[in-house]
Amino acid sequence: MSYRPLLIHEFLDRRLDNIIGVPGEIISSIPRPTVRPGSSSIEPGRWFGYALDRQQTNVIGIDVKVRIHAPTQAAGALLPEIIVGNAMRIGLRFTDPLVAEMVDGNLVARSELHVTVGGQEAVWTINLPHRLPINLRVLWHTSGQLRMSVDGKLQAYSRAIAPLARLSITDILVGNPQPTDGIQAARFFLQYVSIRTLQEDEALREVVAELPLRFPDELPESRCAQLVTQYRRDLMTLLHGFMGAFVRETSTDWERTAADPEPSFSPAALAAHTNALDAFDGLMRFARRHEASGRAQYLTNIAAFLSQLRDVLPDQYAQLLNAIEQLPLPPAECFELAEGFVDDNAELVESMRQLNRATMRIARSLTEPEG
Amino acid sequence: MADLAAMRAFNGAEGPNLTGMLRHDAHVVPLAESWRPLIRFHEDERFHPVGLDGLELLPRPVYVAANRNAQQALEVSVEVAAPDGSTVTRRFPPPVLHVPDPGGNGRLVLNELDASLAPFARGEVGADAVLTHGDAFRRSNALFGSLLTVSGLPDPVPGDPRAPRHPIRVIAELRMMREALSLYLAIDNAPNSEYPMPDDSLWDVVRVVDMFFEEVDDPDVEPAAFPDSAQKDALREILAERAPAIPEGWRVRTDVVETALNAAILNYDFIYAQNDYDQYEPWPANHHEGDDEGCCLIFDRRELEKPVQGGDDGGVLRVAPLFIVTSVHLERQRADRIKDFDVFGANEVFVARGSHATYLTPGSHDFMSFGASFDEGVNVIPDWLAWLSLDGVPLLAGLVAGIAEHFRDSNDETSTDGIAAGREDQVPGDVVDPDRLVPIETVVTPLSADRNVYAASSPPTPAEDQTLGLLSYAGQLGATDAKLGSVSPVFGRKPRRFFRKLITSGRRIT
Repeated sequence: MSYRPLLIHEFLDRRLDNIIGVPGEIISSIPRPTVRPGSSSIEPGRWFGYALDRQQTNVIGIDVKVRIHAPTQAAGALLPEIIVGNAMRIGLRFTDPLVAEMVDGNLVARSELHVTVGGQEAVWTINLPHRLPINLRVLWHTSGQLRMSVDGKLQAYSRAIAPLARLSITDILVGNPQPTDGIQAARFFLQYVSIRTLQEDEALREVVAELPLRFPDELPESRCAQLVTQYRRDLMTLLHGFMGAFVRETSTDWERTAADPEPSFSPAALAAHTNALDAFDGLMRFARRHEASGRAQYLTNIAAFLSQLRDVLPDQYAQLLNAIEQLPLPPAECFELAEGFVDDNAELVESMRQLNRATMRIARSLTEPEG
Repeated sequence: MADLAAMRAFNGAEGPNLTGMLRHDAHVVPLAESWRPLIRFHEDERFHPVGLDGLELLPRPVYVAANRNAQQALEVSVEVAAPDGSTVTRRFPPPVLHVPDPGGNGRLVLNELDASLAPFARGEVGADAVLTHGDAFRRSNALFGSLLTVSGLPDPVPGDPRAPRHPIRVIAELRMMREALSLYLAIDNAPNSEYPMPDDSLWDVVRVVDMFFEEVDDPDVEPAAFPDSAQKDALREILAERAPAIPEGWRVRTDVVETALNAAILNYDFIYAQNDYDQYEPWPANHHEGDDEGCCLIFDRRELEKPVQGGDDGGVLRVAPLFIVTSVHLERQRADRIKDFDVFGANEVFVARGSHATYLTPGSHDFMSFGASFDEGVNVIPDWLAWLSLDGVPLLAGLVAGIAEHFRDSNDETSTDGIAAGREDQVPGDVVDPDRLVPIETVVTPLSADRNVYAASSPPTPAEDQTLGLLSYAGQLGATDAKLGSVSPVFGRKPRRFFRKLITSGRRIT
């Protein structure tokens, strides 16, 4: 979660500009793509795009979903390109030579999917049914994980694409913008396009917004906001860097084939994932509804989660904790600025402080020799 | 305190005419019935619209029919005033309509012995009232939730959806935007002593005024101050067809004015007993007792009024809407959908399971969390205050943020495989199994010159007071009041929201 739409197009009527998105302006090729209710026909050389009013910065996750119908056409023919500023580029084309076969009574043609993030590329294969649309999803996160799924089923995974990248986006382009000289472009149909991004501040902001806290309407101008932002960035960079290393250690690049039908995540990775989600769930139950069992669930699962991290990368784990503890905290004046907020939310803040101290104790205890 | 007499005194003996030349029974009611979209629910949906009166009228018979153990489990605890001036917790049969006790301590329950609509006519029922059947999913499910699927099974599957427990009822209201704006601006301008603004949900705050004006695009001109109150004054003048005083550096958006003058908004409100979104989706999916969602159709009023002028009452029904608009969660999320109305296509609205957000297509819809908005850079204070409040190294916040980034999606799910509420002639190509097609009752609020919710006999009859009391009810539709994003709603009218969507979508009626 925490991803926000940059652009959603459902092709509800004949208007190209009937979209949901951040403030911006629709742009398009001339002539424009043919938009009809339920489906847009993208003819060769045509495209539409969206110029954002304000550049989106510090993007640490991109989630692209398209529902596309691409009837089988010529070998090597270009299908859509989806260009998310300089951050991500997705290109699809039929294979050359064209490989078409019957699968479950449906004609499907093989295509190559090229996904480039931060200059690194993954190339995967997708089967495109001649008569039916598919739901294609490409999801990247700054941990380095890049996933591709079709109709809700994971099809391919890369573990180290643009780790720790923070990207910027000014515009989006969907269609086939390339010159077609010498390259045959194929007509295809889009029924849905969704491009969402995760900015580095968004997840915590979302969590905080869900808690029963009272905030002042405004605070005096202060350098504290900048200092806290920098501190948070530094902390999250350390955590993302460590988690990227954990991901690389516990998973391997994978693409679904008949011989290799299931992705390869280590038991430690799967257990850590489950523990993390259960810890989060417990914490939110405790913070939102004051359920004591939520606190216990958080502590049990965060301990298990951190143990998994420690067991897989013991040295880096210890280094991570040391690095976190050595980060220079914002000065005392900033903490003083928060006093009113702390007083207004005394009960919840105190319980969160206790939980924070308990989390730190657990994290630190895992670096100490057993016995 | 809802002072019905003050509302009536302000609005005149016949009430404010918000439907122009259209009369209630002759035009508005058939129009609302004729163009009401087919409402498609997800097969998993437990709660269906019951109307505002359903929240009051439906629970008590279920409670009375239950055995004693079940009754006790359904009773609602309320802090009421004790004889010694303190408060004491008492249990009441659902539903409970309660208001602040005039003595200052605890709450006063108005409908313990009379769970009819009569208590809504009482003067105590204002913005601080709460209508609740107990703030819990299990209570809502016991009183309003579907019992079995259409084929009598306990669990739904596509094509065999949960059947509605009670008849489906929606509320429809037609407003000509010009008259509605004029009324809203008049009420907004009235002294508090003259109009009980917070206690009348039929009135809507005038938060579209900013759309009618814009700064001129001239770098050499520094726009003068043009505060909200002055903008309201200017809009009043425009609606009265007088020349407004516009400060230097500003101009009137004539296309927006023209659209407001020509727009007729037919609003459909779906009132539910419970939003149980979190039964289907993970955090940040929420839950709250009571829910108010809906959709609207936007017409060109000139086309609607032409046949009336020509004496062709039936001709009104041949005027098709121009646009259909839905409501998706919070207005500030700007995720409402709009599309040009297709007279040859299906007129359908899809209700997302649990959340009841309305969409124009079936399938999975990306949900933007309640904490987010499209406005970047807003609300940064909570973020850094939360970090600082943890004191010392905020590992907890870092881990939580890191995990939240990976939390699986919450989506709004809509479907063609559930209950469809509407008429047989609304189902093109027999795409709905007749077993899944259920009727729907549309209750149209009279807002016309010939029949009006504010109009009354002298003295008003109990029925007139009950109707106005109910339809203007401005209290909460439930008792959920603990968490941001999870608060029981008030029955807020949405024409303003839909008009804003119309304008921001770039559409105009000129």
